[in-house]
Amino acid sequence: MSSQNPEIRLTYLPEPVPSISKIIGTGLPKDVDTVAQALKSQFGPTSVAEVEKSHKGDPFIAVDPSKISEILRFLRDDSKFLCALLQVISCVDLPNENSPNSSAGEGTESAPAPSVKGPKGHIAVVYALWSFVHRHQIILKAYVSKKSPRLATASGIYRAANWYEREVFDMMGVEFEGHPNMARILLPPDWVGHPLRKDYVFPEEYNGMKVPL
Amino acid sequence: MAITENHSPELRTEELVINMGPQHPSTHGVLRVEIISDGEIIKAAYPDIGYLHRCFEKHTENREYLQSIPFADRMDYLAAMNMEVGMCLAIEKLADVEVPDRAQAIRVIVSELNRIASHLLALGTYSLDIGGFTPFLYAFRDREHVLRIFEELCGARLLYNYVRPGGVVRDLSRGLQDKILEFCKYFVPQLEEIDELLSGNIIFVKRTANVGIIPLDLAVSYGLSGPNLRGSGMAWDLRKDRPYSGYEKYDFNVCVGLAERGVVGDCWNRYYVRIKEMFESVKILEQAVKQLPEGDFMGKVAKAVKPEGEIYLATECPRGELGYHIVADGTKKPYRIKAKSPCFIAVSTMDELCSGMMIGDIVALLGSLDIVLGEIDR
Repeated sequence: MSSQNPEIRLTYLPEPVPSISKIIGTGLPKDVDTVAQALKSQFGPTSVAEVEKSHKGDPFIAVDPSKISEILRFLRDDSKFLCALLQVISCVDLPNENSPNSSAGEGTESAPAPSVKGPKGHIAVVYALWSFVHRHQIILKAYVSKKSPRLATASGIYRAANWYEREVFDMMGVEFEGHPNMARILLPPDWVGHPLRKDYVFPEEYNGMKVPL
Repeated sequence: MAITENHSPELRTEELVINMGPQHPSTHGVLRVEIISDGEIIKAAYPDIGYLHRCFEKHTENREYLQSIPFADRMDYLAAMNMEVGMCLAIEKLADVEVPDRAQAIRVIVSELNRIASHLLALGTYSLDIGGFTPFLYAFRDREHVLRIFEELCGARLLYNYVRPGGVVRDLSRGLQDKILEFCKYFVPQLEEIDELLSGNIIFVKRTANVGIIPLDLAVSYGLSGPNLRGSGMAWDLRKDRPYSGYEKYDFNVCVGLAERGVVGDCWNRYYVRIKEMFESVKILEQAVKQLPEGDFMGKVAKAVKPEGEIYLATECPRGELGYHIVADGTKKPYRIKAKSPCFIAVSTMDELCSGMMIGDIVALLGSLDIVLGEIDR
């Protein structure tokens, strides 16, 4: 097949585009203690509740939920961190105070299962941040009480936060103060309850339709 | 409004609310977009999702890890292998499972094959949205070859359940390596033909170049990833920048939008990044198949894995960064699995991008973002 116009023919020339690691180098390796120290010196010693790095997965920094938007803005703009990318906002419903240690309440495990970390009776809202410049990931956690789950919005700092926060509200019932449109996103607007809570009771029917289980 | 100024003052125009979808062929699934238009100009577009919500995250809380992998398949059903690989990597890291080299190489092979299949479907349906029927047929013809390879590999064509914690469920069948190499040899000229047919086509370029421009700062603020971010000019690829599953061993380039047509960040550049990526996928495939190490395809792993800890692990899927946030409490069942979907964020940009656009261009924008509703709604 001859091309209509030789000028229009686009042959793919594999131009080596250097990835960011090549341009800037590997940058500063950020371990959580450095980040926690910087946050403490910026926002006071109470701003960092704890640093979890004992388990096998990623290290987390639990921060003061009342300062979350300042902390996110600081991590985005400070030249030591420059976390331009908000990867995800996730949420975890931690066990209640009076619930046994086992997670799903199955009763199949007789041995005391190790429970999930974090204060009981709280919801953990997890922010994963990434810096293109320094190439480090910082994962923040804010624990909000289940009795009044409220948190300041990050939608003014990261546009990505807008829908992620709506999803957290939809699934877990955490209200983000100052959010432009705090409405349900995946479920219908008249749905009752927040399904990803562990104590969620499945409805029998919705608008007269039977809910299949 | 400039449009009404040319008319006589008696001629009144008003805003019109148009519902696009949920059953609209170019929304690639069940997406509803509420468009408020003034004549041909969109004043606002509100995407409405949730029509395909299948409670993936809730379901996995009541199932064992092995049983939750088929749910991951059904999120992005066009790139099911990539979905499985990400989930298994996260589980393995928490459970301290070692994956043999051969299994890692097989994972790379199936991921790249699936990336080719997914990008082929993306560009085929994109050309169909724009009005070109032929490239669609070409793309589906070539995708069929990939699906046949998968069928021989694991018996399924779309939803595989092939990757497991510790490795893969079955070794490459005899002669499949040659078939994959044969496919690579066959595919490159075919792709060049599609490229020649579509990329420089004047109608296609007029519909897509300089349309739906996402500047780089906006793309980063929205957290776009994958071809959508690379189309905006950022050389960011998790396979290169945070290698997993042995991607550091292979030689390939990260493709970004270079504005061969239009400007960086427009629909055409996002489309063309996908074309370029397929050539790179072929390069990885050839290396991986030729260097495929001998050994086990499945590591030593308990029948019911009991991971412990918490992780956020992201992999590079055809549509961008797919991350799994897994909270494991040391039992057979996950405490919480949250999947970060790249398309979820891609749709959320529509609100801002569409205002001021022509109605006809919304299809061009939606197709260039390459969304899959199964992954958005989960």
